[in-house]
Amino acid sequence: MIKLEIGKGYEKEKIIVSKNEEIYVVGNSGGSLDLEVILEKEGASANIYGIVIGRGNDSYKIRTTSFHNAPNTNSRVHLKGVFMDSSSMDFFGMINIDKVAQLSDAYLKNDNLMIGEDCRVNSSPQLEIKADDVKASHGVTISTIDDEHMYYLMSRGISFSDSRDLLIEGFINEIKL
Amino acid sequence: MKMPKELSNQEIQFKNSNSQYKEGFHMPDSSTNKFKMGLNEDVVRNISKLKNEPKWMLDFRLKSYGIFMSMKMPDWGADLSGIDFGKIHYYVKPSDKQEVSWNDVPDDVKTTFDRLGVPQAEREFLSGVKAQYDSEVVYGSLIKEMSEKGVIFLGTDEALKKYPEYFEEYFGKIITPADNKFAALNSAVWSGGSFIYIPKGVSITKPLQAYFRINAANMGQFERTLIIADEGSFGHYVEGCSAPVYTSASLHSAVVEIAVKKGARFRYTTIQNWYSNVYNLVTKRAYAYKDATMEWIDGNIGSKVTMKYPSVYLMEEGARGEVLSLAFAGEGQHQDTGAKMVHLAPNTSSNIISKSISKKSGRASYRGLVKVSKKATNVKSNIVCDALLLDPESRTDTYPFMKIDNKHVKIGHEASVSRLGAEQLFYLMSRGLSEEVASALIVNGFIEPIIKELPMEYALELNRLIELEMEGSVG
Repeated sequence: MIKLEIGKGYEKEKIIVSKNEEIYVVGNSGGSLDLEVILEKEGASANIYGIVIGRGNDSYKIRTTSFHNAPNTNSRVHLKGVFMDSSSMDFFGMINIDKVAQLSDAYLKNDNLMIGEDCRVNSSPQLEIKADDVKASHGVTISTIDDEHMYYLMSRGISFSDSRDLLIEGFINEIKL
Repeated sequence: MKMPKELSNQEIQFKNSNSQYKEGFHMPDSSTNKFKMGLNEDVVRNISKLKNEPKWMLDFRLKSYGIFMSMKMPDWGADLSGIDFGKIHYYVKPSDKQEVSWNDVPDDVKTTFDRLGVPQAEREFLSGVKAQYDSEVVYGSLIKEMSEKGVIFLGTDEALKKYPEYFEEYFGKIITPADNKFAALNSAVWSGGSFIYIPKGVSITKPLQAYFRINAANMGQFERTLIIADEGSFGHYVEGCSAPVYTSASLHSAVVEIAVKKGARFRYTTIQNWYSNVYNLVTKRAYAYKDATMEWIDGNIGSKVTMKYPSVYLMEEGARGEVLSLAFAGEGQHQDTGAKMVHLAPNTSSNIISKSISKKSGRASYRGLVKVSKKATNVKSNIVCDALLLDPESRTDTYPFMKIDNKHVKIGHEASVSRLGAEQLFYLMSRGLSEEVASALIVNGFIEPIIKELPMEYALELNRLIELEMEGSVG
C-alpha cells in the first residue's frame, strides 16, 4: 500500500506495478500531483483511491495516468473531491491501453461535490485505447448537495449544518481509507 | 439514392477499384472559371471582385486572410501535415449562374446530382434544395408554401446581395475569423453555402436540404452558411456531402453560424460522406437564446481526416442544446469529432450523445467541452460517449473537458469502450445468421439511438452506408 499526501513533496510520482498495488491519495490543503501508474507485467492490477478537500483558496492540480502496457491488466481510479469556499481543482485522468494489453480492464471515476459559492472544478477524464478486446470506461459527476436529501434529514429534526455534514461524510465514506 | 443501371467505363473501373464508395465517380472538369492553385491576397481580392461584393465584405476577407497567415496550425487533434495550402484551387466556378429548374443546370452537373438522387429526394420529401458544385451553388428551390410564409432559402452569395441587413448582424459574429485557423481561411475565401431565414412563428415541416459536391481535383470547398430561426419558429436543415475518387487531397473547410431566437427550435443534420482523400475541417456554432433549442445531428462516415465539434452557446435562460454525434473511422481515417456546450445563462441544459465505430486502422476520437460560467446556475448537462472497436488494429480516444465555475449544477459524463461482444455474436449466429450479418446487426443496434432521430430516408441511407462499411470486416 502506498499513501501519497498531496502538497507533501509528492509532486511527480511514477509507480511501476508488476503484481498488484493499492495507492491512496489524500489532499487536505491544495497542491499538485502528477501520478503515473504503469502496469508492466501480465495480470498486474492497481487500485487508486483519492479524497481531496478544498477550503478557502485551496487549489489542486491533479493528473493521473494509468498505463496498461501488458495483457490482462486491471486499473481502478476513484477520486472524490469536496470543494468549499473558493477552492478549486484541475483534474486530468488518462487511461492508456497499449496494443499489446489485450483483455485489460480499466475504469476511472471522478465525483465532485460543490459546496462553496465560488468553488470551481475542471475535470478531463481521457481514454486512449489501442487494443480491442478490453473494457475501458470512465465517469465524472459534478454537483452540489441535493435539496431533497437536505429536506429529508432536516424534516427528521437534524439541523441545517449537521445535515450538510452528514451528507458530505456520506459522500466521502464511499472510499474507505 | 439508387445506382444508375448503365455504367460508363470510368465508373466500372471505379467500381472495381473501390466498390464501397458509390459516390466516387467524377464528371469531366468543365468549370467556367478556375483559379490557379495557391493562395495569396490577389486570390482573395479576385473572389470578392468576381462576386461583386460590397467593400465591407472585401475588407472582412482581407482581414481574415491576414489572420489566417498569422495563425499556427493546431497542435492538437488530427495529423494535418498532409495539407499543402499551395496545392489547392481556392475557387472553381462550375457554371455562370444559379438555376431554379433542374433542366437548366449544365448536363454534367445535373447528371452528378441525378446519380446522387438529389432531384428525386426533392420531389418526395423536402421543402427546398440547394446544390453546391465546387465553389458555387448551381441549383436552388423552395416550395411555394414556404416562400409565401416568408421563409428565405438562398445561396449565401445571393442572400448577401438581397438581405445585407441579416449579414451585418450575424455574419462573422458568431464565429469570428480569429476563432481558429480554418475559420479564418473560410472567412477569407468563402464561396457558396446556404442562407436560411425562418420568420417568427413559422414551422418548416419538411426539411430543407443542401448537397455539397466537390468535383474538381485538388479542390478547396469553403462554403459559408448562415441560419436565423426567428422567435418561435422551427426548422430542420439537412446537408449531405460527397466527392470523387482522386489520389490527391482536397480540402473542405466550412463555417456554419446559426442564431436560434427566443422560443425557436432548429435542427441541423449532417451526413458527411466525403471520399477518403478529403480533409474535412469545419467550424459549426449556434447561439441559442431564451427558451430556444438547438440540435445538431452529426454523422461522419467519410473523409481522410475530420475535425469538427458542433457547438451550442446557451446565451439566455431556458436555452437547450443537444448534439448527437456518430463517427465511423474506416481504414486510414481519423474522425476527431465531438461537441461543445457553453452555458452562459441560468437554467440552461445540454445533452451530448456520441457513438463511434473504428475499423481496421481507423481512429475515432471524441473531443468535447462542457463549460459552465459563473453566472449560469441550475445547469444540467449530460454526456455519454460509447466507442465500438471492430478489430485489433483500430483505435479509439476520448478527450472530454469539463470546466465548471458554478456550484449549482448537475453534470454527468460517462464514456465506455467495447468491442463486438462474443456472446452477442454467438447468440445471433446460433439463430442461423452469418458472422457478417450478425456483426452488422450489432453495429446497427449500437448506433440506433442516433439513426432513429434522422428522417426515414436518411436513416435508410445511413444504415446502408454502415452495412457497406461493414462488408468484409469480419476477421
